[in-house]
Amino acid sequence: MRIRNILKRLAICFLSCSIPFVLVGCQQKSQEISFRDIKSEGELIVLTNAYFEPYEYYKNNEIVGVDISIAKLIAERLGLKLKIKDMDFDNILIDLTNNKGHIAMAGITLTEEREKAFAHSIPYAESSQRILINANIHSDIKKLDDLVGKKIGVVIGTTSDVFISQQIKEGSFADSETETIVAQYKDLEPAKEALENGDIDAFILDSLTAQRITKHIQI
Amino acid sequence: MVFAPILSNEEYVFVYNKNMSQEFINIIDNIIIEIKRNGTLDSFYEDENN
Repeated sequence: MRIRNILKRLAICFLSCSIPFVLVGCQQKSQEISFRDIKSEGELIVLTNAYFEPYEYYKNNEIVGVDISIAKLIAERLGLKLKIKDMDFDNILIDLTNNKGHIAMAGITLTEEREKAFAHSIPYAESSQRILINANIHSDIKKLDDLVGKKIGVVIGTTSDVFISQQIKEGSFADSETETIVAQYKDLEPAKEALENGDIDAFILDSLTAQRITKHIQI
Repeated sequence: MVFAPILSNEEYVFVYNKNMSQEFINIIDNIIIEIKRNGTLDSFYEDENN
């Protein structure tokens, strides 16, 4: 009985000593990124994928666009130097998780999963998704149903990717005798090339970006 | 290239690490509200169209 009491006391002592360490560990993991921290770093780090006209894209070797104009304005207001990191779209949220940037500005749409894993701003832009087709090959594609059994291109992780994945999940293409394939590209350029070459039948993307593409190339 | 009709309407947001302080998020939200109200955001789009 005496031994049991001693063991019980030792266990309580061990737990009361170790719990604070466990809590400290948890706090470090979820340490708040304060405005003061960012100010002391002296720069605002924006993560983006600069192949998304008119929001972010290269012009004369410089990243410009609507999102970049907003980023410049924010940095100026906060008295910070702006640093823009260009990367593949699907790496943006990974780097954000690993604290390699302060804001992701890349025409990002909220999904249930993203809402659970990240914090976000109020909406700053409205977007619509459109189907872009190579008219020389597929003048018959005029609506979503026409994509059944076709090969559809999207940029991985973008609103278009989320949209088409949702459509497939909901069974929009379930009646097809031939499989509908979604080809995911790391950014806009290879998807655009695939459409030009006829490797994909359609490319789903942001409406404004689609308009920009048609300005630059003729098919 | 040709367009098909609009498929869906979505909204774009800026995304932060889950641990970003609410103070910082509020500052950015207030800037977004301001530039939407005073036409600065529209001017950014106009600059892109010109």
